[in-house]
Amino acid sequence: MALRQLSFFVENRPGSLNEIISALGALEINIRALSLADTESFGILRVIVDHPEKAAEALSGRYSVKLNHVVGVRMQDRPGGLSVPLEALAKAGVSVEYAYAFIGKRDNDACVILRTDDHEKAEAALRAAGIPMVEEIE
Amino acid sequence: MENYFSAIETAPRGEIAALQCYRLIQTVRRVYENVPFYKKKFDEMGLKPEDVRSLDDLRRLPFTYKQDLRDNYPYGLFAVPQAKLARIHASSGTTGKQTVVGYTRSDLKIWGEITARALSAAGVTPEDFVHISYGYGLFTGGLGLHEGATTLGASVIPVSTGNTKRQIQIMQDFSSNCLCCTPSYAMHIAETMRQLGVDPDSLKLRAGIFGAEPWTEAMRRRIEEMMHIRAYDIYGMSELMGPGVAYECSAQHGMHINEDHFIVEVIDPETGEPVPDGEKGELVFTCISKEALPLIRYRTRDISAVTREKCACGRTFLRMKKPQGRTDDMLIIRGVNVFPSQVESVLLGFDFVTPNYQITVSREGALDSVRIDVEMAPGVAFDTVREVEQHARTLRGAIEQVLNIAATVRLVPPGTLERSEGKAKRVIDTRNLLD
Repeated sequence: MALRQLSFFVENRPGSLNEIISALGALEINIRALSLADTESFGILRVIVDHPEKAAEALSGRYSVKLNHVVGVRMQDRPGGLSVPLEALAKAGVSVEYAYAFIGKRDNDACVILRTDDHEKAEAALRAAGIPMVEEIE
Repeated sequence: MENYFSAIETAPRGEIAALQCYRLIQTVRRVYENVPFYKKKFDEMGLKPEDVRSLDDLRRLPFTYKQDLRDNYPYGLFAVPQAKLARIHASSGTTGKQTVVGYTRSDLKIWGEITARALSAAGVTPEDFVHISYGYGLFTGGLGLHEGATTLGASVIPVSTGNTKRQIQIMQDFSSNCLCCTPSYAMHIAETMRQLGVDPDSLKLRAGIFGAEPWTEAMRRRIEEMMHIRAYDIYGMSELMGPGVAYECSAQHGMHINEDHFIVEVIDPETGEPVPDGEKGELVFTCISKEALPLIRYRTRDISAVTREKCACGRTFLRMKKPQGRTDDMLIIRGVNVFPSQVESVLLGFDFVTPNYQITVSREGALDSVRIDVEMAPGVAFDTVREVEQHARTLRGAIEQVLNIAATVRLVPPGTLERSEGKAKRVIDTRNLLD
């Protein structure tokens, strides 16, 4: 199953980020990867968690939260490692809107979360190029 | 069929005028004898109570301003000894010292009657459950409608404000037929119902009475569509009595003023001179039956117009339009007159936001700067900064077209803008602090 991410709209005020993070904690939801986009007036928190659907359902009443598809790419943790999947996407005409990376639990393993303009096309291109992807583990 | 609560609502105009004249003469004598503030004003003007003999003489009387209530804080304008007082209420006092108002037992009875007229005009009967989500306490909204529903003989569900999910649960479980709250809170309840997937037809709700803040026709339609009810406006302010000074009928075309208790005038706020019927001006009310706090020619700062045209409902009380805004709500930004309600009318055109907004005006150097914070509709979410900014830009363009001024528009999560007693706080003007 493809990977899904939660995007939270975060107010620009002290404590607002922690409110969301602790709400996830209270639901026993574990954060696997995280990125925070910030602007002058608001932020967008994106997280990969172990139970995205459960989290979205539980928190949508309190927060502005969106559940959407992203692509998780596994790659070698070495110089130039990220070029391999990006090249495959470029060839397929898929553009990347944003990305964030995290180091995997195993040695020499890294993951990049990519938000593209077409996640199905992106997945097909990566699969064709034999690049391993992160699956959703519920 | 129209539900009239009192015979006077459909009385011939002459009868209403005669009652007003009699009560005005009594009131003028009473304030002169019992309120030193009015005695001093009359004496300074060389006016004797017996000079007021007809309704036309009303114009000879001095105006009363909100500042006069503040200067005589808390009880200085009361016309009765403390032993006769039965209740105290106070305004929220967001702009300066709060204003304190008082009621005798007779005042409370009249308040109950005029709000019962409002409920009755909205089709509420003694068979109904009236769900009151106005704040209970010093604010007049909760206890005012409570008094009215009790007088009408309906069953009151005194929920007060807050905890929207619980409000909806109570509406479902307790079969609420009529909801009373501020229009902005009604909108929030409607949005929350939609988000929770509550079918409005599964409720017993038929009518809503929404007041205590200005709202637009577009907002009425939106609430009516979302909740499958008829939404009625009610007008009032604590200085005069609280909710119930004027009320809407089934025609939903202006609010009937309870003229047996209040005399209305519409004046040019600059000159104090009356304006013709149908023309906009500041509403001025004289309380002619109140014992504790009978204000003479009280300047409401509300901009509206009145009509004496016959109403389809059969009531003969004249009607006032929805107030367009308060004279002190009007902002002058870079020389342009702006009413906050204009912002609301724009927001109602977009699904991704609620009509909850807050305007912050500040001065940077010599230039006024305007920021408008708008609450997103529940359930709306974004994944990229670009999407948020595109939506904000769309709103900014629409707002600029209507207001004729440039403004920064910021989206904020639902329910995060400050509210006091369920009333949305629309304007923060920090310019004076910098002057």
